[in-house]
Amino acid sequence: MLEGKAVIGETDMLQTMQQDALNLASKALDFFDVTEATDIARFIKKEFDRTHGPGWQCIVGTDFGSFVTHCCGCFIYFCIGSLAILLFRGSPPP
Amino acid sequence: MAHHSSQRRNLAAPESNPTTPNSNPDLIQTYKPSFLVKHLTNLNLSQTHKTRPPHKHSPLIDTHLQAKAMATSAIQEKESTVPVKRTHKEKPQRHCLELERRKLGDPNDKGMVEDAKVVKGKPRNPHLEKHDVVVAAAERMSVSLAPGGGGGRRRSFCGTQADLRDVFAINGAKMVSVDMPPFMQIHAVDCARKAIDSMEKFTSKTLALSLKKEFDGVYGPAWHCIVGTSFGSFVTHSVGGFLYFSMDKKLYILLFKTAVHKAA
Repeated sequence: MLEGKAVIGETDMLQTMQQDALNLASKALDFFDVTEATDIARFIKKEFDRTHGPGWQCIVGTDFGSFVTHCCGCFIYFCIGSLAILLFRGSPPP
Repeated sequence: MAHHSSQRRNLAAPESNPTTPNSNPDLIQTYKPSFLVKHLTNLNLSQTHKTRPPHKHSPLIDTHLQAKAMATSAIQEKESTVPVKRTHKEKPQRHCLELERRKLGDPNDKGMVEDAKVVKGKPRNPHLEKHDVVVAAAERMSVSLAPGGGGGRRRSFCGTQADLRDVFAINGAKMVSVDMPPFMQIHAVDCARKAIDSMEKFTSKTLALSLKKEFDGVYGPAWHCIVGTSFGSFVTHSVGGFLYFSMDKKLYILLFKTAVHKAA
């Protein structure tokens, strides 16, 4: 990974899904620059909506605080390089 | 059928960068999924986990950090007037909105500018480069900041655009993107202003907590709130439950709602 090792800060997610998130973030940072936070967020959310069902939310940035409600087993917050990434499912699939 | 209970989390990103310049980028894309989601108010297993607290609001020091092969990102800004919408709770649809708060780039108030991408290899830990801080600050001189404390203002439930602008101007707020009835917008701005004024020491996490709890209590679950000076997002929200605005010229607040299903 070009951007260095990812550090997971908080998670409520299966190991396989965690790995998916980290891999997607690493891939996104290959496609986009660290300043294109919205494109990274879109990339990760779209992929998770496609592979793990709809309803995911993604926040990417270097300076933010948050307070969210998420489904069980669908939450991860990690740092990769200089970015922090928050990914969670806000509403269960219909 | 999986268990659909929800949990609450409170997070803050590590602050390893200086204060960002005052730019106002916004890129909005909207599409509607084909399915409908019902609003059901049943949340079980409510927990709050705290993570490391952020240390925000560092002094405004301009730090120039050079980076190799750093692409100069242009800001795409789209500013729309306030739509006065009335939404019904039955059969809401969900929209995807894309929001962005970028550090780099020229605050161009005109049309959209394409992003330039550098194909060369990226540095390992690229440092962010701040551009046009002075220009950005100068361009925002027209934004008047009235002293806070809008507690005495009457809440208008048939709010017009004039009322909205008054409330926003009083609280030093500027709306970036919205899909929310006017009275809820006024409620959000008032609540944010009260929370900021009542804090001894400001933290994004505390403000996010206040806003989310207020809206969860008044308008039902499940609301989500993101507060910060530098973040990008891509979310799916319920109809009539989305607000993205700025306060004090450099703080951005994203507040949106998602549908909640009853746990089977």
